[in-house]
Amino acid sequence: MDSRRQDAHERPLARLRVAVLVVLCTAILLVLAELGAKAAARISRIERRTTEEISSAVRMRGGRADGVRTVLLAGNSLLLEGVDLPALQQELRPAVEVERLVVEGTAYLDWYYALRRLFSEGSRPDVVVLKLSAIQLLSDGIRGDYSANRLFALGDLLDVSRDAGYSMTATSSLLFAHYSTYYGTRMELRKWFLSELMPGMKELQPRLARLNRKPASESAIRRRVPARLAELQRLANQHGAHLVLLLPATSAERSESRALFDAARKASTVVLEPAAPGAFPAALFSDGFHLNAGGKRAYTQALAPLL
Amino acid sequence: MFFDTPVYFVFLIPLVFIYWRLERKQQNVMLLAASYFFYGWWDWRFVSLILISTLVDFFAARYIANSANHWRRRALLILSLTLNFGFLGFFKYFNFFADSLASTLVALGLPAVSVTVLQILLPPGISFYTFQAVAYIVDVYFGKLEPADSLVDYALFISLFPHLIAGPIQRPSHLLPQVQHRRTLDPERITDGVMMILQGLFRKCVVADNCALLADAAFSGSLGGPSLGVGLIGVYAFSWQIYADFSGYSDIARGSAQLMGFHFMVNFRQPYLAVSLQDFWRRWHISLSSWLRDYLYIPLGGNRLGEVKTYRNLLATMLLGGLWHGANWTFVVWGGIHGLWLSMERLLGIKEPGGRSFVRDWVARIALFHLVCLTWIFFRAQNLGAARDYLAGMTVLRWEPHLLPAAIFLIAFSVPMFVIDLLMEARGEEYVLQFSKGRTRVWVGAGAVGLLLLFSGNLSNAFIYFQF
Repeated sequence: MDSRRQDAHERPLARLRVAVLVVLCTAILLVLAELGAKAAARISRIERRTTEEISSAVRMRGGRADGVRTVLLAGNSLLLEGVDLPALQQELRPAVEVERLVVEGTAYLDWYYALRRLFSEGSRPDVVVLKLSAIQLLSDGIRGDYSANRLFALGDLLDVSRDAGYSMTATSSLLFAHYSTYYGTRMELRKWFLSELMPGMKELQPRLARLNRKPASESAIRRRVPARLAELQRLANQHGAHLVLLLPATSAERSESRALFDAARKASTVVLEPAAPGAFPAALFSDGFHLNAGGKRAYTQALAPLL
Repeated sequence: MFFDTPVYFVFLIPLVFIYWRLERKQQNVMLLAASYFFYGWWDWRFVSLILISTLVDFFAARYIANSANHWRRRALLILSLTLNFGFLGFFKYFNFFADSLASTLVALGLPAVSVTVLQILLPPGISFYTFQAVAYIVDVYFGKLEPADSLVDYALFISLFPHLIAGPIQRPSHLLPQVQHRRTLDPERITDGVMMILQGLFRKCVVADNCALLADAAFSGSLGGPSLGVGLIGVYAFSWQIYADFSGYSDIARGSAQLMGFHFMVNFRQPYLAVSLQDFWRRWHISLSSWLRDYLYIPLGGNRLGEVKTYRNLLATMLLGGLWHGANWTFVVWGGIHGLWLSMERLLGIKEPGGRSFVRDWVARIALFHLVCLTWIFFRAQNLGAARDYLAGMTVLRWEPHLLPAAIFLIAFSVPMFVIDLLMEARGEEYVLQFSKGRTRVWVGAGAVGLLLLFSGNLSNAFIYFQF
């Protein structure tokens, strides 16, 4: 009788053990994922670069007694593929010290709040040169959880969410991503795993990304960009910096430059245009949007004297 | 809050722990408050809508049940149905019908009429809880169900959060008694709940979200120019996306309910293993297809009024079923194709499989899968023109090198889902390896978590059926 009662008592517990073990495994795997993501951030070339560039940007100081001007070049893949940093640094030394911060897939809101965070952590360059296309200046999107982890301050997350039109669920995800390296960078981890495991993934991935490469309308640029540039200018000025907008090289059919110049004038923002629209032939572009090695060289050579 | 986000589990886990410390009535009150919080999290403005609908239906049902006056009972039924379908019609279909009317007038050469198009937001879950409410009031009217005595119990039946936003549409005879009676803490149910949630997350985050990348790329043109290769990859990817997305959601909903002692009806039973379209509709979105059968097809007469009217009823049911999915002619066409094919199966005397050969069954499965894929083109396309262009693109015979890695990508994420389905079909399970030894389930669960952590980092796609 006692053994039967004991069996009847143990069976439910044995069944529950499965759930408990699964939950335990989940917790362990989550911890491992977090540790793994932190390790990956040290191993991954891109993540290491981003970490180092953020650190360099935070350490920048302006108004130096030796008269050297410090310039922070900020932007996304247009900057990464468009400017040869070592060549530019060599060209501009010793009068100008250039540091770069590149985060791919970013747009206006990412950079507004990224600069807020950098400034709050002590970054004080003399000049911030921001390279974004017109559509990226107009965009209300952000790089989501990744930006929340790498670029945004905790105190700005609600404002980011409001400006990006995020739901409460998406906002809560930003909060998790801010604290969790794994959650914030899981998309990059996934891309890396897939490219390692599946043949041809590196060629396929650009086709799977949701890129908006349509030219922006001139009316939208004139209507919205001045206020955005003015916000960025105000932010930079509050921290002793000047904002400069750097225009990417574009093919002939993209005629946003005029509108961007007008918008920048309204916002009292300096604009640099190393290459007029259509000045670079298609042969200097790798995909009609980003420059190839030759284009990068030419663009950098044109940029240096302007800086 | 989406089921695949951390905030959902921050909400769910403490709720379950507190829930099991309460008595039944306290549990229901707590769950009701939590469900309204869950709903308000989406958009607090629509809580009033579900409250109004709940109050009207609760009191209407009680008066219907307690009244002997036929006309009064009928009037109350009509009031309830008018309110429920009125809300649904206004929020979901006003702009669609306004636009369609304007376009039709222009197409007929009549003067263009300025029709006000309102900025109407779609209340989350309205298609689902409306059907649940209608089932309740109709069942009470026909005496199949006693009305709920407690407003809290009825409100919880309508708004219980795991099913509130995207089903499964619960039958009052199935869920209401569970709400009204004590739930017991059953370790096996808890285990089932955890495993269902994991299976659901795997389906949604690993299979659906990755297939979505391919489907979106194919339908938007970024995978390549129109061709048979792009077309097939896109439609196969979408077929697995929509199945994994919706069945994954249903799994998480059922699993969440299980954690609190509720059993929700099964919503999917390996639909891509169906051997006929009739079989498909007994396996796909079962809660909706059975609702349409019981509350639309059969009241229209079903197959009792002769062959012609049977076909009429089939077509009407599927057309309205298509329209239920969304305010777009593409859904109507999707439903129409299904209605015509079901009618054709009836005409040809195609019945349920029985004693068929293995080869015949698999030929039928593959053929049916491709028919269903064809209809998914209309489901996925933005409009009829886009669907037509997509189909036309599939007549172009061209192969591009990058389509090979795309095909490998598709196979990598769809085959696991297919294997899960084969196992569940063979073993008659509600989730994979349900009847296996505990140790096996632990390893499978841990494996699912591992795959989730590695492959779920896609841009967050909302569950497809949330838009319905």
